[in-house]
Amino acid sequence: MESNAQERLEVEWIRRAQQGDHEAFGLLVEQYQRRVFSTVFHLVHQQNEVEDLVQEIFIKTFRAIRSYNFRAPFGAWVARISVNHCYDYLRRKRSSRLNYYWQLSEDSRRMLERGLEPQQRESPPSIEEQAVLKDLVKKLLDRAPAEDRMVLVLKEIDNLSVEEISEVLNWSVSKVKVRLHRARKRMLADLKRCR
Amino acid sequence: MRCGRIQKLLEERGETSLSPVDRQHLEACPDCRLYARDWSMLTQGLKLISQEPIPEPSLGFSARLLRRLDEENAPGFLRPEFYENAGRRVIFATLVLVFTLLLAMALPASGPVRHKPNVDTYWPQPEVLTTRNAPVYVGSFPPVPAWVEVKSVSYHWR
Ligand SMILES: [Zn+2]
Repeated sequence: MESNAQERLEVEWIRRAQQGDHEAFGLLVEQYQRRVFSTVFHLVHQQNEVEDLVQEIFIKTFRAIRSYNFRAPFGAWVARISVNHCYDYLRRKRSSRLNYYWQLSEDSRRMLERGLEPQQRESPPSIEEQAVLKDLVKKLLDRAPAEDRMVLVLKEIDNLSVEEISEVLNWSVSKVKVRLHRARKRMLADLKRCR
Repeated sequence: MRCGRIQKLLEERGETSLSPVDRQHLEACPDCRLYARDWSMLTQGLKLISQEPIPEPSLGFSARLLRRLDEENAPGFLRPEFYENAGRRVIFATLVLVFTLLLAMALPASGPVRHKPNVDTYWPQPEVLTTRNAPVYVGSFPPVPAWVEVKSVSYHWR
């Protein structure tokens, strides 16, 4: 009941925003900003650039809002704009650093060599291990092609279902599955290369 | 073939989804074991990243955003870029003016570029008037005959 009322309210805000009502758009921003911040932060990993990117995304959203036709959920539509914006940003950034270079820390290397054996996996990793692991996976994500990174972040970090990802990226479900598998394989191969 | 299928299952559903036969394969196959170990490491890392605190929008984020939208929709003279452009024009005009003034000061007070030349920079030129149909010499040699009238004239620019 309450979610229905919320949905109706949201539809009203969208319609008003489509007429150019900034105040109504502000309410939509309040509603979705956390989600957009999360997606941008996980895709870009640059804390100091997140807010600027989110602002650009919402400006784009407002400029395009007349073309929103209520077929997909508004959240998925905003997510699509966010992901596309980050994708362009990542591609620009990647091409501007052709001599991209990174090195694993000594701790990451040791962890990679040792791996997390099955019996160790039962007990949660220590705080230090967690930090090393996070750092390692972030570096792998940074190295991954923009498309791999997008699909992996949406699935494994933002925890979207394959169906939701297909809505956000405007891909078929089977394409999402294939790309996801390819991205995981590539990341694992990259992990092996680091050994 | 079997390795590929098992590795895909590991990715999509995790180790617990494997049938006893597949599990036996996993125990025996070094490739699949390594794959399972690496994949588990990756998923743990990804999960840890997903638990990191997300940066909060700074205070007044949406108000600033709306102000930017208002500015974009404002008539020309109210937009900030109007002042930016106008400012640029003022600076450009000032530079041109300063340059012109400097050029004016640097130029010599006289010359062909400006103003009429000073009279004394031109020496008076002798003007030769003949009264008869006879050869005329100008200068000191041969001597000017008495019937040649030499008149001093100074030229002025008009
Ligand atoms: Zn195998």
